[in-house]
Formats: sequence, structure tokens, C-alpha cells
Amino acid sequence: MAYKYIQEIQGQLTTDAGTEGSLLIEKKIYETLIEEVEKNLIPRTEAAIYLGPSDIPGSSIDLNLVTPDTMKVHVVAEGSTIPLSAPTFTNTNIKPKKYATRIVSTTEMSEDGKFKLMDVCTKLAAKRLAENETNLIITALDGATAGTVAGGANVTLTDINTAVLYVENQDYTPTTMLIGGEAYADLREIDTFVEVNKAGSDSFLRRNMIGTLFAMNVYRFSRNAAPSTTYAKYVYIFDNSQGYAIAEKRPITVENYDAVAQDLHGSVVTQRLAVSLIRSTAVAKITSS
Amino acid sequence: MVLNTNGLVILDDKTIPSTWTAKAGGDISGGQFLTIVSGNAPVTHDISSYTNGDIIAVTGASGANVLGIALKNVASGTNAYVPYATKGLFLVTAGGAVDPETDMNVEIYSDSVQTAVAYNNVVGRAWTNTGSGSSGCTILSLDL
Repeated sequence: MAYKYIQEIQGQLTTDAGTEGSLLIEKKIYETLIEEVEKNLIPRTEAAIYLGPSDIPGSSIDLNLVTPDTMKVHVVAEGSTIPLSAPTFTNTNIKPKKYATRIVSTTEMSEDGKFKLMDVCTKLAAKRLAENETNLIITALDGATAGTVAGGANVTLTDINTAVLYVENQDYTPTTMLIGGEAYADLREIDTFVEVNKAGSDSFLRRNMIGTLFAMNVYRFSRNAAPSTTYAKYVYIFDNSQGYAIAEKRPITVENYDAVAQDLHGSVVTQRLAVSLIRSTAVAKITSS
Repeated sequence: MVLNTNGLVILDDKTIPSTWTAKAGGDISGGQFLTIVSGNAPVTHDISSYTNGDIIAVTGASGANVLGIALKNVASGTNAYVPYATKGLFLVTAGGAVDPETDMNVEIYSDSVQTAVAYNNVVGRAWTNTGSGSSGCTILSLDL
């Protein structure tokens, strides 16, 4: 009986008879290439000025600014000469830099590949340029150092209030809060924002988001789009009518080319862009460790 | 072999790449430096005498016998052909000392590069300083 049992086992068809993907056993590639998620980036609505290609005839553009509090009035006695007064002015030059990448594919890869990799790569390149814009905005805001609030391990309500007060003291109106992920997590631990009886809203609990805080629009930015992951600990509070300007000499542009002799085709993805701080006193920054 | 752990890494292909085809005389990995072996039929003055099997490439390039850098993985076989580059920018392992601040000329050293010892073996120039060994890498401006 034992011998017969062994014979029966040998007669079974098992997956040992084949090799997945090449012999008898199916191996399917899923139809969709699973793409990376969209990062949280800083929207252009928060720029004080957007200068497009038609605004920048040359390679750079100058912004002229009135220096605050430089025009004075005086008390003048009857019949005496009225003193002269004039404001002072400054200017900021913004010169876009070119950011670019290049993708090359053999025609065989395009013909044989399951996915349209050139399209995928071109789209990714454009996303990287969009992330680069967030990087440039944060870098520009870093130029405002006078209003830095050095926080502790966590960003606190007092830190936020101090930063808001700094901007308000310069006569600006805080309209925007850009916040890194770790700092955002700190907000979730502040009772005032998560207890309905205090905040008057349960949006944080329901949607993990407070759209506005102290009348400021709150935007969380990806630490992977920031200059470094350390920026997850930082918060920027500023007046979006005076904060920074974006000069875009060339919007994101895709140009295709062929190297026919090598049977290659490629895409060049470029953008000419600069972000410049306008008024440093309109920006406050909170750091945490 | 101290090949770049990522295999072939091209920083720039010079837009119009300097590439050519050789017959693979053995298994080849992208990024390996190639040399030639005998067995090919010599060409004559007539262009029609050239066939794509005339150049037979194998790994193990050293000294002055460097054909180029392989652009893809190819298993040897009757009809296996390997594309290789003779110019371009590549990230390659620095198997020996590479000190471009002193001398940018580099030569092949076991599928990697090192600062040139024999100047008739130079394959290009290194653009970055690096530590040696399998973890050290440099930008090679290959020029063959």
C-alpha cells in the first residue's frame, strides 16, 4: 500500500512542473504603473507677484520698493519754512535660472516596453520642477532672518503667536502659514486645535487639516520638496502681499529630439525660474528641534 | 571586479552619443570596460569588408587595451551584440586612488579607474576627487 501511495503522489500535477512567467505558469504584469503620490507643494496664490515671460523682456527684472517709514511729516510753525521730506527706495533684481533635465530612450524600449516610459518620465520631470519651485520659495523665505522664533522640541502656540506678532509689528498682516510635517504634527498635540469646545471646529480631528489658523491660510509642504528634511520642523508665517515674487522667464517646457543615427529619442524638460524675497520683515520663521 | 554597484550610470551621453556595436565574446554587464579578443576577420580597404562581428568584445580591459564602456547587459551567444561608448560622462568606481587635483588623467583598473600610472593607458579624465575602493566613485570623462 505504501508503494502505491507514492505512485499517486508522483502522478499529481504541481507547480513544480513549471516556472512562473516562462513555463506553464502565468505571471501577469499589472496594467497600471503605480505612480508616486503628489507631494504637498506651495501654491502660486501665495506669491505677492508672479512675473511671466511677457513681463521679463530681458534675462532679469528689477522690482522697485518703497522703504517703509521713510516719509515723514513735521509740525510747522505759522510762517516758517516747511521741511522737505522724501521716501527712500530700494530695488531687487530677480534673474531666473534654468532648471532642466533630459530623458533619453532607445526606440526598442519605447516599442517593447509595457508602459509609455517616456511619457511617465517626462511627467515626473515636470513634477520635479514643480517641487523645485517649493524648494526655491522656502529658500527665499529663509533670507528673512530677523523674525526667526527659535522654538524648542515642539512648535507651541506661543511660538506661533510670537511669529504672528513679529509680522504684525512691522505693519504687515499675516495671511499665510507654510508648515513642515513635524511642525504640523506638533499642532495636532496642541489642545486648543483639537478640542472642539476650544477650537469651535472638529476639522483637525476629521480631516487632519486646519484650513485657516488665526485667519492665515495653512499649507503643509513636503519635506522632500524642501531644501532638506530638516525643514519638516519649520514654520513660515508671512504677508502674501509682500512676501516673495516668482519670476518665470520660461514655463515648464518639453522639447523632444531624435538621435536618428543611434535610434534614440529624447526629451529635454526645462524651466527658467527664480523666487525672490520682497520684504524680509513681512516674514517670520519658527524653528524647532 | 569593482564595477559601480548600479552598473552603467551615464551622466551625459554628449547628446549625439559616440557609440558602436561589437559582438559579445562573453557575458558582459553594462558599465564594464571592454577590450577585444582575437578571432575577427581583418578588414580591408573596402568598406564592405566590415561586418558587425569584426569587433569581438570581452570584459577584462586593462592597460592600453580599452575598447569602451558597455552600455547594457549582454549574455554571450551567437547573435549577441553589445553597444559600447567611447565618449561620455559616466559615474564609475575608483578602484585605485583618484586624485584629479594632482592629475586628472585616469587609466583602467579592474573595471574601475585610478589615476594614470602609464600615460599611454589614459582613457579620460576624472572630474571629482574620491576615496578608493568599491565605495568610491568619480565622474569619468571617457575619451577614447
